[in-house]
Amino acid sequence: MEYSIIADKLTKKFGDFTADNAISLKVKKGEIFGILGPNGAGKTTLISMLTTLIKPTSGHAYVLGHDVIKDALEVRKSIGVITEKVTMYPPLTAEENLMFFGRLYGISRKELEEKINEGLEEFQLSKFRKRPVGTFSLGMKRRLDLVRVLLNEPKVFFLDEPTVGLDPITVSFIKKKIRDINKRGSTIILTTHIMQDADELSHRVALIDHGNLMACDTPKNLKKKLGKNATLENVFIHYAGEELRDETEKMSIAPRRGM
Amino acid sequence: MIKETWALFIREVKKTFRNKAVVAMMVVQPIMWLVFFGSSFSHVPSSFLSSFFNTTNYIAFLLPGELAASMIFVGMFSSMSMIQDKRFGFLKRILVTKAPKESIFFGKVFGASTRGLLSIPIMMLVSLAFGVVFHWNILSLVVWILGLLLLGVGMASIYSIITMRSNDWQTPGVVSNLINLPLMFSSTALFPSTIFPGWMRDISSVNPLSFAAGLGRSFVLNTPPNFLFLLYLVIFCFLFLGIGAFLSREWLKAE
Ligand SMILES: Nc1ncnc2c1ncn2[C@@H]1O[C@H](COP(=O)(O)OP(=O)(O)OP(=O)(O)O)[C@@H](O)[C@H]1O
Ligand SMILES: [Mg+2]
Repeated sequence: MEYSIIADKLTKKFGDFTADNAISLKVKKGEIFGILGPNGAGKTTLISMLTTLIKPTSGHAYVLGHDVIKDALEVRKSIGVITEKVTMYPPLTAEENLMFFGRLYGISRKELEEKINEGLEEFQLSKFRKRPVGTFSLGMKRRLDLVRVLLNEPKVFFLDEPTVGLDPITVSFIKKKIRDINKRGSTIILTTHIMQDADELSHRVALIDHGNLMACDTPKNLKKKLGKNATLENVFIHYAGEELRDETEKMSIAPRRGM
Repeated sequence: MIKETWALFIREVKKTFRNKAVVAMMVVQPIMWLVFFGSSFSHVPSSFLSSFFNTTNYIAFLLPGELAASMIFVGMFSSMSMIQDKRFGFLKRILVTKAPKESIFFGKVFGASTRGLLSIPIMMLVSLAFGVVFHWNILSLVVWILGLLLLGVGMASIYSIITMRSNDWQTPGVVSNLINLPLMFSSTALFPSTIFPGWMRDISSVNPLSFAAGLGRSFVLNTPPNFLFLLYLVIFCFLFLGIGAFLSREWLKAE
């Protein structure tokens, strides 16, 4: 099978409000696939459906051939997810957090210890292994989050805004790691608001606006359509327009739950 | 599933015991109850006490009841911890691993129950300090502790079921007022049912708290434990544990 992800008319409604509207796309094995779109476009919602966190209202999706609704557990076994917010248990140390998640992935203790050592080393966190994660800077947390996800050796990797809030050094470090992980054979799905990052990293990008898939192609092709010297930012504005995304109107229809 | 449950349970326990405020509360709260509430009957004539409570020391009557009541607060911890995990996004992280949802439910329930068990030695020590004399019948003691554990697990299950679909900080508080207070006052935890009106006596006779308190009184008053009480609590516990495990598959939401 050559596709890691197949989405077929994937739709999510919150009440009357359609967050994702019949999105169909295919992500090839080994691809770095960028998902772009304005705030509130439906990117996180799309990723949540693909990672089995929320159920689609209609449509289907398959990750490595497993149905995200019917075979949710099979899907979870082979994916890694990093969400916008970094979440580890603050009172537990880096090592304890990794141990905890490693156990949830079902990794044996001995193997886990080795992997944790390697991971902490690779992401330059060995020194801080005994420190509670609550004391970490955002950059350290984000790196630790990557160590955590890699424990499971995910075949498909979802990264929702992995570089938000980080300094340029950490950003470039993480971008390099994303490429490394991809070279080791993982498919990567990533969302970002930084067009340059998307352009540099992605083999193909999808542009979503108001829950609709507007375009899906290589960055090069998308830019070419707009003429010479066009940037991905031009492409973005071409499809999404310049209108600011004010969420208040929508929120009165479908108030967002949570924080 | 057992491995995942264990990992989740350990994390729950570590989280609780690393929080100094929580530990302090766990120690102080039961002491307050016994010291203030228990002492409120100090000047009641002992003949009155023994006719109502079968003991001249109200603390001796209160201890089993208070421990039973503290087990229902266990439920609240469990649901608070669930809300916390949702609000901070922890649950999302767990839900994308291969840990089954039942494990997450079990981890919460057992974690909270363990926290509740800590009040047993503390309250017993306080009671000893207040002159309660134990006869140390080991069988009664074991049956009692088992009963408390079953009650705690059952109550934590009920609470976790209620908060599975919620992500509101208020839910545990609202629910606890709705469940804990009626449950506490309609049981024999604080007062014997002989002084209740008929309708309350009916509630009391099916209230799991009364059964756990009853097992405790067997230990404190050195009478043989009633194994039917224990059986009742076994059924209570596994019923709600089972319902919760079943519902968690559908109901447990990331946020
Ligand atoms: N649980 C929910 N209930 C109601 N509405 C929701 C819920 N989750 C998301 N939405 C709405 O769905 C729309 C899409 O949200 P989503 O988080 O997918 O956007 P996004 O593309 O990730 O945006 P951003 O770039 O800001 O992260 C938004 O308008 C949001 O308010
Ligand atoms: Mg988002």
